[in-house]
Amino acid sequence: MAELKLKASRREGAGKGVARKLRAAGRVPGVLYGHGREPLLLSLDSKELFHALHGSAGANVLVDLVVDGKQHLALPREVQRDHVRGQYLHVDFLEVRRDEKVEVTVPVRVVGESPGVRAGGVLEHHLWDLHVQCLPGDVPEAIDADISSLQVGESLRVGDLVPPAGVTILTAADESVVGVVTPQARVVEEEVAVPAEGEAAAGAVEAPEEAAAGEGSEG
Amino acid sequence: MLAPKKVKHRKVHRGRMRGQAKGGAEVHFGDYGLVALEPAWITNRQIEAARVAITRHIRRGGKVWINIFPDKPYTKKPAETRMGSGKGNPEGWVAVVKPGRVMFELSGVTEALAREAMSRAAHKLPIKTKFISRVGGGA
Repeated sequence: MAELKLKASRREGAGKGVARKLRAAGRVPGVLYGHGREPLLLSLDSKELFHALHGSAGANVLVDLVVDGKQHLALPREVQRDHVRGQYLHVDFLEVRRDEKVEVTVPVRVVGESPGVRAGGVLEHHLWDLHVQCLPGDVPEAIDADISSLQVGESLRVGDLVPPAGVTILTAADESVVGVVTPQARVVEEEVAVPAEGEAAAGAVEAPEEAAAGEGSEG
Repeated sequence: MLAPKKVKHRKVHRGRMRGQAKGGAEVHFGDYGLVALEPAWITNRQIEAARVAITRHIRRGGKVWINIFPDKPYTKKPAETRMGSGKGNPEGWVAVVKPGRVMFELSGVTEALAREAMSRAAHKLPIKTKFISRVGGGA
């Protein structure tokens, strides 16, 4: 698992006023908690945080958080973002110990080329993340789902995945991860494209009229 | 075209579109998405036009998700009518979209194809949009 150092400073005060001032100054408010300790209010540099959480492992990084000279080993637990501006709003860190197992969410990475896809099928990704338990140092960047034997109509389940050593998958074994299905886009195009125009116009007029009739009878 | 099967009230207030999307702001089903950057009422005709633009461009393969549904009726008074005498007649259906909302998702195609398909869909919509992908799509 990727491990990196991140500098943080304690922040005085909580609430939206303090948080907004911090964000305006190019910092991101955060909090560190875990192991029964009092939550520690932090602020981090937004650029440093962006680079830390945009590595190959995404937000699954073990962070050596340096708060005013004191080190804390932590995992980013909840990351709040502004989806329009693309900025971080707040980040939660969970303090962990190297010898204590943690539960984390790890992405699924599809590897290989499916013969079903080569035959014209479409790969459907049903499950993007897996819930796993492992030591903080063993958290994998992703768990591979090998699709090189998948034919059209077949699917790969959680039980078929091989986790790395020291990692236990907690997600139910019968959940489907990926499947190869017959292409849908062409069917939709043929079925819907022509009648949709006529139906659509009728539908738009009909629906409100039906409703109108309903209200008339009420009143 | 998308429209509710039945409604509890056939006319509703217009409402306000303040703030950003509370949910549906991430790519959940596919690999790529089209995000709204402005608030708007998206009509069922616009949604259908965008869907057709995407499916025609990707031809075969790929899967499209429409994450918005036009469940709000909008009304209009007839032309050359004096004001007053109550609310107008239901004319169609719209989806209320706020900035940050992922409206369409796409999977099973290359990024270049998805980008072009979403661009064509964006031309059918009355708002500014942004293309995002699941990997590194967010902040």
